[in-house]
Amino acid sequence: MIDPAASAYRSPLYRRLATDGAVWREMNDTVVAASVSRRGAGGDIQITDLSPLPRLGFKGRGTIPAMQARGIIAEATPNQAFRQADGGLCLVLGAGEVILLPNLDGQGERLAQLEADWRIEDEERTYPLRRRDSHAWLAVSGKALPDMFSKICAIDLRPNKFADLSITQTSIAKMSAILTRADVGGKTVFHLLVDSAAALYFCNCLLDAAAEFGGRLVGLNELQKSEGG
Amino acid sequence: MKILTCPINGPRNISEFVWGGEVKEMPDPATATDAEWSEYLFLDNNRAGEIFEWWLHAPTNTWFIAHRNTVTDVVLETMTVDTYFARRAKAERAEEEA
Repeated sequence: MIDPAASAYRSPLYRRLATDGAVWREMNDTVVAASVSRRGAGGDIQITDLSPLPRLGFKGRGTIPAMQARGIIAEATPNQAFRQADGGLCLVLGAGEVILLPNLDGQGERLAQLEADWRIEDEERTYPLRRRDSHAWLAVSGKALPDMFSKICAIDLRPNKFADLSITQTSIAKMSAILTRADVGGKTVFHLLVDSAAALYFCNCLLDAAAEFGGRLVGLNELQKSEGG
Repeated sequence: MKILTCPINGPRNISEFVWGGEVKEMPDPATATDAEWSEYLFLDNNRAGEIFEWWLHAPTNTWFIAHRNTVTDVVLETMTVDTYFARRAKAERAEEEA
């Protein structure tokens, strides 16, 4: 039996997931909910907790050139995400800030390497930030996405208005959040990064908003299935 | 709800913003008197008319400048800090030349 609490990188939502009957799976240096068993198939909204997966931020005036020098695809266009060759994402939040997300296999070596290789002596005017500690990460998908988000967010998130790889940094359910649209296998997926200390509140808000659409928590296996198309 | 336009993130609900006070010159902290310094920190001119103010878009931590009419409460323009100071420097240069 896998104990999520034993992992140093357990999700801030592990108790909530356990309540819904999560089945755990070991993944690199952490434990993720592979599936969340609850009666009734997922309705029009599926919420996946990706918080245990690695992620890393960089900040500073020289961030974009520093990322490009490391072979990361990124341009200085705020609120735009860039898909990487390995399926990961580089979120460009501002002229001098990025967050790097891995693909759904959650391989963290590359990110760990980026953090370890950073040296202040290089004077690149950028510095790493451990976004795995600061931000919880939820992926929300499903047919009812725009309808559901219109209840908790003032931004027009309809697919024809909010293109793939767009980012909006706004207030969602009264919390500051970074919302990125990054479609997986032709399916619209919103990646949400929010303060990890309030992750449970935020997750409950999402579930509350999703309730009328039959929304529920699902495991990573389900999201990975959509990756296959 | 009122809408304010962040120069980086676009139009957003006013609840996402925090007012940061009037744009004013900072006196030299080394030479300012206590009275000057506390005036700088705590007191505003509160002028009736068009003023420039600091605003913060909280979700992105973006500080920017808004040009607002305090009588009508109409925001005439919002701009990045870079734009504001570049414009001001240009205006000052033009004044010197004249």
